[in-house]
Amino acid sequence: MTHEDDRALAEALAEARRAGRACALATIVSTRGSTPRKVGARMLVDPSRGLVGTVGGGCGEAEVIDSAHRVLASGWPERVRVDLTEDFTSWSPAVCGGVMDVFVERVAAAARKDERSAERVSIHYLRVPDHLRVYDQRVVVRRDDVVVTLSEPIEASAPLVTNGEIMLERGSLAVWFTFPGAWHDIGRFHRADGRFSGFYANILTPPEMDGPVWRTTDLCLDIWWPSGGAVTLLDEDELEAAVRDGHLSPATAHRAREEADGLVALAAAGAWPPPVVEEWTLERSLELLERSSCF
Amino acid sequence: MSLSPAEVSILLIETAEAGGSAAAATVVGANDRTLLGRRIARTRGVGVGTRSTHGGLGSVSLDTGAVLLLDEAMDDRRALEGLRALEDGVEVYIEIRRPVRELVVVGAGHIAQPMAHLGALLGYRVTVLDDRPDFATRERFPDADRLIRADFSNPFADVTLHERSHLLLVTRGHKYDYECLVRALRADPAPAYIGMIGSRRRVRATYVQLVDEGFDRTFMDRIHAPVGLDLGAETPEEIAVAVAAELVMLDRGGTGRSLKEVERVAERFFNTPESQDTT
Repeated sequence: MTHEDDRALAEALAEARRAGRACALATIVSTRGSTPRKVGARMLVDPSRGLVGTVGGGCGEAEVIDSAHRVLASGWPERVRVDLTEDFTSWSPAVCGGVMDVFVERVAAAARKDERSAERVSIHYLRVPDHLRVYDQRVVVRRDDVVVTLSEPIEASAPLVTNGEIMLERGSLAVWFTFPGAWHDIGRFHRADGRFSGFYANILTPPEMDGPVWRTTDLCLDIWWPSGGAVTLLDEDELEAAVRDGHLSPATAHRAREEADGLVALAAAGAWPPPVVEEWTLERSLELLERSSCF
Repeated sequence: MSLSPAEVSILLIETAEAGGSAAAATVVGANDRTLLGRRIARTRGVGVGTRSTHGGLGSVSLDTGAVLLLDEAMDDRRALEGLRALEDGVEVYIEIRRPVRELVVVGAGHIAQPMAHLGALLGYRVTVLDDRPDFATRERFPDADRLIRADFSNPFADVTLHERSHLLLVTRGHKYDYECLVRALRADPAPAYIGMIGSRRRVRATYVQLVDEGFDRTFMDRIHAPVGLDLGAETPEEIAVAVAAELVMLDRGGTGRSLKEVERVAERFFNTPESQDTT
């Protein structure tokens, strides 16, 4: 890219940020054979303004634009291989004869930190027999089947570790998914630097979710699925102890086990956790909170 | 935390415009897809200036590996942008920014005008300096990026010279050209190009004076004087074309000769005795 291209792109990015629009940025990261644009060429896909720059002068650009729309919707970056060698429809086959890899990523809209005023909820977890934990969280999005919330940074001084892997640590953020009527919730856990650490599910009584205070009883069992690791069922001993001490009924404990076993089986079959937990990444949740507070 | 593409692009541009170098690594391949799109950047001030790191990839060992790659990319002038491998199958795309190519025309006279125009045309960031306010004007230099009123005893006070600066000394008097030349030769880092207007006799006189002041032959070799390619140029416009041609030649590594002579297509095509000798 020339310095002028660089400037034009930076200005377009800045303008979209100011206007509160998310964009997709496409960069050619490798090429083989003859391609119309070389490594480093960039194109910005701004949903309301169109294209700034080019990665192909028309050749193969449609594939990149399709990818940009997927990336804008999901938040997940993509690497697209554009094969121009089979582009029979091209007007100038002599120009387009190579293969290129294009990295497509979402560029967040501007954050207005001074105007954050997202809806908050206070989640009251009762740990039997009488230990109440209160978590104040910001509501990211409300749907009929799920409410997505964002925790405050963890204040604990010691990291929470399972099988030698850190789940949460001081400064960590978690995105929580609470499903009305379900006997579990799901946390998308992150390390303090924002890296995804894994999915965590609490087995609990279906939460009462009316108003700004939610109430639920923790049923001891937890499921932990670390990033890159295997699904593990945790704290079975705690559940046994709670039943033995008369804090939970055998019927409730049975329901808790049923729920946990069901989720582990679904996970093994690749059918759990549900897609919504991939949809609301930490980045996207933060971005939405920051942007929604502009209006 | 990681940097956004917008933050990185501004950081790289501002560093390059200030005469520094910069490189950034973006994760474009990883088994853990949460790493995708994470960025780390390194910047270096003018010359061997201060280095600093911006952003991060999410772990100390990835950052350490990336910083090594980025420093290598910044320091090696031939380094190319592209993919590099880090640990655990993490692949990064490295982009590099060099200082912005700059043409500093010292003296805003009749050669400076076409020179500024050609410089802008060739993609240089053009600065025109003069001590006469009514010469370095917007009307006379519509496509210069900066017009600076300078004192020729310290002409580069308001200009940062770096390894991609190209200087053309065309002031209204050889005395001033000489003062600016001495400043330019002492600049650190050394500019990419120092051209000075003047006839063979004038240039010779300049060299004699430089030797008197203790400059040795290595300094003379860095000076392009008389300036430009041998085109037989006479008018200010023609001289500017000769200088522009020299800049392109040095940048691209050409010979400065006619391609007709270099390639000798006709001789080869018609099988002249010379080409038959080689068969």
